[in-house]
Amino acid sequence: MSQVGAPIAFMEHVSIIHTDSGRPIVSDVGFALEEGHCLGIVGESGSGKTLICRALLGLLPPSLHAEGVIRFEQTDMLTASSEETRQLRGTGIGSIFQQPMTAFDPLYTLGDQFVETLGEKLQLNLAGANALARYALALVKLPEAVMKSYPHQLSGGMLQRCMIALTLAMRSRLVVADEPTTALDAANQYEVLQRFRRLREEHNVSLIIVSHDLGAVQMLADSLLVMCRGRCVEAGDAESVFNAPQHPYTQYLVSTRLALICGFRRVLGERNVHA
Amino acid sequence: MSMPDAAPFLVVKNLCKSYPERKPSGWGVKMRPILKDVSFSVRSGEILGLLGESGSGKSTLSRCILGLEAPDSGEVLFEGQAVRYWHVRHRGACSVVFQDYVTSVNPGFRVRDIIAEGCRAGGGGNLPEEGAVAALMERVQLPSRLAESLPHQLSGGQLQRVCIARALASNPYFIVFDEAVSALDVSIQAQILDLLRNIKGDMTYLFITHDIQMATLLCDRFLLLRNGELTATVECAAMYSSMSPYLQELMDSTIVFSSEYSETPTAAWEPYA
Repeated sequence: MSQVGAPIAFMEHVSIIHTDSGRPIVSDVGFALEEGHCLGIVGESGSGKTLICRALLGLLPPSLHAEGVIRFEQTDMLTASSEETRQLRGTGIGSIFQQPMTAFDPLYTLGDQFVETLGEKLQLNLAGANALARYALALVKLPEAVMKSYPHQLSGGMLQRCMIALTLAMRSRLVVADEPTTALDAANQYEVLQRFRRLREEHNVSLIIVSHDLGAVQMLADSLLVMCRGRCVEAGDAESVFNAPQHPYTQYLVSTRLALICGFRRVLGERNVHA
Repeated sequence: MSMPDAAPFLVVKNLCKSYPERKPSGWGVKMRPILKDVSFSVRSGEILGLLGESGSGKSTLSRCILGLEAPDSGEVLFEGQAVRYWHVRHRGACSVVFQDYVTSVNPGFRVRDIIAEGCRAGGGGNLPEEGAVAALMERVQLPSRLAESLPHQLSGGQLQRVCIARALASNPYFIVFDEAVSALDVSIQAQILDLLRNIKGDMTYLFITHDIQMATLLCDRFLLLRNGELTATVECAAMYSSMSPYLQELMDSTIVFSSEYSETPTAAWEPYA
């Protein structure tokens, strides 16, 4: 049993090191995620955002290893056996990847993949897994016909929702979403983010969202980690970091984002004049 | 500034295009309409946006304009001439920058050669003059030390700058940007948009995007494409006078970042230094 107030995911002084050369790729990152909360990780591409997620999942590439403390609930992810971490992935930590097209096997229907995953993770028989898959797809408002579709027949947004359905079906306690909206177009982005918000509110799932899109992170995150060149340059409450960034890199991120949307804000301002 | 009553630079009249699609039975093909009776015109010197969801026919429309695709019916007229003649008579006058900068350059070419190819295309196959490539690289703010680099050694933003330099190399006066910034990091997008604005001069841009925030930032007006139909032409300066339910829906589903921070971006921070 997890005690009240204990963080669901915890990292302290985590460095991710290239084993052959001894060169650190990520150094000295730490955070504590409370149950039911959402952590946002922002930063440029190549800053080590994805590696932190993979370290938490125990899925670092073989050429890298992590040092420090990484805990999920009571499990130490660095000393746990690979079988233990495998058991935790899916039911404990669900993951949603950036490229919806490569996250599923192109040769099998989504129904097959749902049934295989659910059968393995939750020890369900065929009928049970089928029923659960249908139920989960209905939760994310996808038609049942999706079960018989191959990944290439669905849009990126629909596949993204399939992944969310999978984490819902497995009742993951923590969902790690790595750039979940980057590959989607604007209308789908909004829908997927709404889905995440509901995931948190209705199912009390904790969330780690990784993105370079500050708008998407702002919509969900309570706390924030700003990464730059493998280091955490700023951390704290999301609203205060966004409103009063301290580090020059964070200031740069926020101000360029604001510069990008100034045209749209001008138009929105016009609406207020008309109203 | 273009005059409103000047003859339009590009006219698209009743354009229809469909692609063959296998019938559900698996036997035979049926034609699936992608563009349905699209008509609009581009004024000389303006930045026209083309906004639509994925699958709405934006790229097909741009391919018809570039002469890469023949329409089923309807016309594309550049300065009053049919598109296939105009492109031949005005070599290099029209350029394009695509979304996927990795696949749009030859991975075995050095940056210098990639840009020189554009010069040759615009100069009747002649090798570029001494210093022409260096001048182009300076124009897109690429450090000259990158001239001998291979594409995989550059970051996304740098590579997209190479593609823009190549597009500029043929001295075009019309450039199509097909989702040219969508694949870049948000902070790099701002830099590339700045660059596009700086190099514009009196060129005409067709800027294709799915992001309404980009469209309102860069364009004078934009066309709204939905399921192959042109639903509206929106003047950015007077968006609310041409409000439609679909436009409203798009605006409502836009994720707007807000912050009380008010400093202007400083160029001092170069993420890929």
